Amino acid sequence: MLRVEKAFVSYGRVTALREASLVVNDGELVTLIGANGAGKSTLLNAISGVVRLKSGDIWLDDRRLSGLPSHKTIRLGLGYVPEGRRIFGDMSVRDNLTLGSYFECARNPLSALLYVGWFLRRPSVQSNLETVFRLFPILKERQKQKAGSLSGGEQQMLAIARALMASPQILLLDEPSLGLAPTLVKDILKLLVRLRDEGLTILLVEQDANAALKIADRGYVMERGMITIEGTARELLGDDRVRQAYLGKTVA
Amino acid sequence: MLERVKRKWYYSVIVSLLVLLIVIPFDWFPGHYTTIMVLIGINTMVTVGLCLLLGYTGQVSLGHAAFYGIGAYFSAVLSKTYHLNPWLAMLIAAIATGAFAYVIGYPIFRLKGNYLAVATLALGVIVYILFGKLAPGGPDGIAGIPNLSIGGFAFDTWFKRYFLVWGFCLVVLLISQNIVNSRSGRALRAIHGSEAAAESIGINVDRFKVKIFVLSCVYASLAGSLLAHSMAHISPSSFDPMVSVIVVVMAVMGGLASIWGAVFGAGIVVMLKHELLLGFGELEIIIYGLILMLVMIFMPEGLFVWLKSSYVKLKELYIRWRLGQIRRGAET
Repeated sequence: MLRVEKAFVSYGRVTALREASLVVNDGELVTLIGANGAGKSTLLNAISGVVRLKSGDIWLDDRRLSGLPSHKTIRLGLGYVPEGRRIFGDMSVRDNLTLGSYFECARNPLSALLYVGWFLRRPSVQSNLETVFRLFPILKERQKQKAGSLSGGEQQMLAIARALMASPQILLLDEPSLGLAPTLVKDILKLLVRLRDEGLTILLVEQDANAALKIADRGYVMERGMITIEGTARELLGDDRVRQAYLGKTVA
Repeated sequence: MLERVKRKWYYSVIVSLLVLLIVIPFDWFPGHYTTIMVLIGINTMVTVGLCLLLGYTGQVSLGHAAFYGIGAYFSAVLSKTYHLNPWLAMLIAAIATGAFAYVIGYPIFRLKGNYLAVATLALGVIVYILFGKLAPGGPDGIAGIPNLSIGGFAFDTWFKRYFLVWGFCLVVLLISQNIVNSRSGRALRAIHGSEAAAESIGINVDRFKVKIFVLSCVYASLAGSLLAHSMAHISPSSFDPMVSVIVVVMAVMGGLASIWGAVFGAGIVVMLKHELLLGFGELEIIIYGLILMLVMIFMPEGLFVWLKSSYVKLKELYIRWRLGQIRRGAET
């Protein structure tokens, strides 16, 4: 269970988060929607440790995430798919994936002195790879290709797959639909539902409120750095304020 | 098929390099080339360190001569003035340089891109000036540095030093090759690709940068120590900021992201410096600039990769030609 308690973040004089709180229970797909600049990405960055909290707390079960830099939060069971995919274009798909479970094996440059390729090929990495390839058969086909040569949708899948390679307890996604064709967006969202059904906890940040609420269990609406509305996805889809502001429908 | 050609190429390069290295220093070879080969070995060590930093991790250092010099000066002062065993002096030099790099690494790697380049350049200039002002010997440097020796066997001729230096150099090359091919190597390339993404998969970017910087500075320090004990004389001018730039030229020339390319880069530049450009004096610098530009334009991945891909292309052409021949033979 991920708990964010009164997270407060400011960049200089600009306040990005004003005591935002939310909870993601195990096995839930929760979505966070809101307009541009509402603070959605900041909240995700705060959880993953890219941004420091000014006050407030973030917990993953009984492990405190707030105050930790991002490379440590990842080790505590957080999977983070940053905005804009950010795959390593020059590397092969397979190398991208292996890097995803990087921290499970790597220590420091000096450990490489004793490096013998087949000796260090950890079974956990291998089994993670198989799991990921089962979920994304297309990536298995393309594993030797350079990641930069994949299409936008495949790159997004690769970014998600890379995060899964660390076998995270909860997956944070920052606008996976960004810059993708509507059919691809549907594919990605379907995939998230499938991951949820397999038991993964997911926190999804989306601009496309309609699509996100259709697949989510619960949702939070964010405005000017605050959580203003929360409820089950169905409640939110029916909520007049949400409909007016984000779903582009006039209230009858 | 391509994969196999590549691998065969890789082994053939290493083997021919080793054979060449073993054959070169003997009597039939013009004497002063042995000295030049020693210099190439020493420069290769510095270049490999810079390749790891610049080519793989994507972090610029225009001040590597500083660490090269610190190694040399530590070795020289400890072994000459304090009569320490040269090996011990070398070890202490490496540790001291590493520690210095570690301390300076954290603040300096908060900078990125051009700012990092300027900061490291400034570091190189500062250390160079300190060598002239504070170090023993001042601008004249230190002479009479003892040779390295094992038991009673002293490395007192260039022939012997040749094997010493290339022994060190090969170890450094192999270590670097291992690092690059290991998970840490992938992490380095990940940092090069995108720091934010590297951070998001759990790589401690800051620490990694500093670690690889320390390693690369230790290489430079070892090279500096070898230089001091081989030449028996060092002066600040051996480590002026221009030397840092020349190391960059060597790295670019051989191929920034290529460990074995460093040997070629260092080889070509040292040959140029000590053979072809002897009469040029100040013009030397213009020629390095020209080379740097030409390499960047025509073989941006460096000479080594360029040779490799031309080899593969030639091989393909040959196969096509042979196939054509066979086909024509079948027709008639």
